Amino acid sequence: MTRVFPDPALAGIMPGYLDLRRREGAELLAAAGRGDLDAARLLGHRMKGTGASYGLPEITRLGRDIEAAALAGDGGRVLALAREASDYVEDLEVVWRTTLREDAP
Amino acid sequence: MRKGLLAVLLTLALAATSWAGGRDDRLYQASVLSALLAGDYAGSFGGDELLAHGDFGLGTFENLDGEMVVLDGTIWQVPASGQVRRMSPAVKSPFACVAFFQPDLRLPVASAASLDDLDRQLDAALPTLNRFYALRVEGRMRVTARSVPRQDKPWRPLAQVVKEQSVFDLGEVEGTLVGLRCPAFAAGVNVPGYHWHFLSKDRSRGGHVLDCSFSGLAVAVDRLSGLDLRLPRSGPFDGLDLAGDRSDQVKAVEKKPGAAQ
Repeated sequence: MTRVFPDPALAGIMPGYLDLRRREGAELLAAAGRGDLDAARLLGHRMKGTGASYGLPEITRLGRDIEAAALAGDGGRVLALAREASDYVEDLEVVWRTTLREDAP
Repeated sequence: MRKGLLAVLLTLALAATSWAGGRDDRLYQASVLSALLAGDYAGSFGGDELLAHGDFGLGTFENLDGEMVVLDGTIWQVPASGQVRRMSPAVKSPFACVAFFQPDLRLPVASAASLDDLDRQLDAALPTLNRFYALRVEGRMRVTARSVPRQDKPWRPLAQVVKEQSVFDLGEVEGTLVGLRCPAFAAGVNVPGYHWHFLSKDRSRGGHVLDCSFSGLAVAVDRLSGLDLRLPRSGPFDGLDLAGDRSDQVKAVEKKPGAAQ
């Protein structure tokens, strides 16, 4: 389980983002499984561009590595990273930190 | 005009089999330029929606609160104060264009004496002017940029608002030009020709580029396969009169203050 603490302003949109990551993660696994490195490269590139804004730099790191492995033609590495990315999203625990008002009981 | 607009509302699925991004490498556009020119500054599109469709692009914010630069998956705001801020994906926008930037070619530019000069050189070098392009230039350059002040309702047309724009002479600065080139047939939907925003490398300065010059840089070009155009689902959009030619207004909002149209 990986626990993350994003900006509370993202609370309304984080579920949609994680749904997108799950959908594209499934596409990535399928692409990696059939050896479609061009599709995997594109999906890795998209992952790379999204993580930072949601406070999830690991998504960005995995996307960057997937893109690089696909460009290098390393299908085995792409598949391993795709599984790692899928596991990361599935095991993610998002914690929303709230600030108590000073007059709160 | 309306017929033309409706025609472009359809996704332009242009053949692109050999390009870096494949057939899904499209420009994702939220709303149309005509609506922005008419003063529709409602935040109809979420930053999360934009980032789901691209990591690179430009636009503006709800209430026309400054210039938007989307770079490497992060949304940056250049407000009229010039104090650049990193924005959450929860931010709202009335108009923006994004793509997942994947360069197909690099065009070396030995010297660009001005923004017009850069645009002319690119026009001569691009394989066709009938497609949409995302363009990225990184390096040290001289930049003059602007931003627009946040607006309260009732919203005024953009051509009036830009008369109050803040102009920043950024001098020689390291950073990134974030550009789009739209074909002439996209008039009304977007800015025909080039549209450039800038963000400094230290993410402290930027804006809508009014002028720039540099030497010895390269333009990374992402040739896009089409346009995915989304219209506002609410707000004043449906009641706007978007008929007519707004090319004079486009020139007015794009030009430097005091420049001849």
